[in-house]
Amino acid sequence: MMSDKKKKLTRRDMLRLGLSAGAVVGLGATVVSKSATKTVWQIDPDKCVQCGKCATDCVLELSAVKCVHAYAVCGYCELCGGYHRPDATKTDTAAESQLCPTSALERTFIEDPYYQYSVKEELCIGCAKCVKGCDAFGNGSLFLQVRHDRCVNCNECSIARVCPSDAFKRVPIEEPYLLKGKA
Amino acid sequence: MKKRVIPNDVIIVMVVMVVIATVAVVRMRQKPKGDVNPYKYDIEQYKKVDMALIGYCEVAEIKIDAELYGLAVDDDQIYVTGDKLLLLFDKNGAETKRIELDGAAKCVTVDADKKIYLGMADHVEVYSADGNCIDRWKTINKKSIITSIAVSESSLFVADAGTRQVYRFDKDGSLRSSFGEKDEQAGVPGFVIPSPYFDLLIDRTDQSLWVVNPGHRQIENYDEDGRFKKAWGASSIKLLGFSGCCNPSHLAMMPDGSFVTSEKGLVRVKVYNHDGEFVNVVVPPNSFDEHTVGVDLAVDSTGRIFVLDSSRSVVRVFEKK
Repeated sequence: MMSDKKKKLTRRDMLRLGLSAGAVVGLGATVVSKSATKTVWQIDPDKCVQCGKCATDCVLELSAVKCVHAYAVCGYCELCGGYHRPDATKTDTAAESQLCPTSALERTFIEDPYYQYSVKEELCIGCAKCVKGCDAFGNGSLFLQVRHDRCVNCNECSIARVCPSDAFKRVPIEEPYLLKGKA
Repeated sequence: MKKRVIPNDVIIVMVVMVVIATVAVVRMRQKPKGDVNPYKYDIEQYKKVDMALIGYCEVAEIKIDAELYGLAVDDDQIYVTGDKLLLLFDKNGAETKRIELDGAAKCVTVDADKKIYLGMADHVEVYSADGNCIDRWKTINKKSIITSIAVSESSLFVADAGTRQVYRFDKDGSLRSSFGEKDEQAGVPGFVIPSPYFDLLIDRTDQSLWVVNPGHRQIENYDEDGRFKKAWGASSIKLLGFSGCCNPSHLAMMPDGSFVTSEKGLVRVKVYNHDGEFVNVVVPPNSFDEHTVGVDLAVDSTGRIFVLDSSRSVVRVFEKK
């Protein structure tokens, strides 16, 4: 049996309670949302196995994942494992000698016999072929990174969902890139 | 004014064309998905070796609890350098001496008098057979990264990946000469060293010097004054040649003058005859862990091949089948 002292809730009380609850829920959602945007997706280059899924599973038309180059690690080789197909018969720039399916890796003559390799981001699809080639046959100076000028920072990254090596992780927005060897 | 009527057939054809175009555009914009990834780069195919080409079998291994760098053998002992360590083993693989060093010795060689020469980062240290430090030579260059040393009857040769040169010393540590620096006017192309792997050895048959020029995937022959004589080696992912940007990473010589080579990247150990013609495989790529590098080699007087597997921290011993 209910106590007589207990007040019945009026319609006004209900409205006040509802508004308060709404405010609390709204504030909570804002806090959660703010803390979520303080991190961004990034690839740990030490875990990446160059499976090629970054090219096929990003929600964007052209993947937000791009190849980047640690120039200090590069050997500036004439025959580059990241640039040339392993069975290439010539160390030239012919399309049939190149490993990249979109010719996104550009080579520039420095001095005999050294060449500089740079990534044309607008052509790079993040397939990691060059990364795997450089890792297997060179110094391992190429690696993949999520470019934050392109990434839409989905709550559930569609590449992370299929990444076979759990290389995708959230990192603080203040340090959004993981450099090779320092991740 | 007469109203123009579009025939039904034309409308049907137009609708069908629009549908086909829409489906084509949608399908073209779709990224390939599913089990078959068109961008997957399969390098496993290059690791396959015909078993008939493998001419050696593994007969023993020496496990060592240290990070390993360099390897040498003579008639009695096996010499292994590790991080601040020089370890001596007898022919059965039993440890006979453990010498603490001040730094990392990346390479080691032994002369006929049992003096042990260690290639430290930028200088050479000399030890007696009982493990006492006899001499510490001057720093070659602040940029030096000594990767290999070899000793002849009268000289010690040092391969320096930092300065990309070979230095010739008298056995008392006096620098006599150096060669390998790029000199366009003199037509000297120089050694191309994209990574810190730069090996050399003294020919067992004529005491000349063989130096790996890894950026050219070649092994070059010089006299002791550094005059170029000849070279062999070709770039190829196939067994006949050397793969990748810069190989072979290490070199040794059999008693009959055949060469034993190891490569990084596609890690494999092979034998070539003295003219540089492929003979057979000692260790195929699938016999190494992924990302194994720094596979130093040595051969004893009976033709046993010693392979330093830095990834597993073991010295693996191979004999002809």
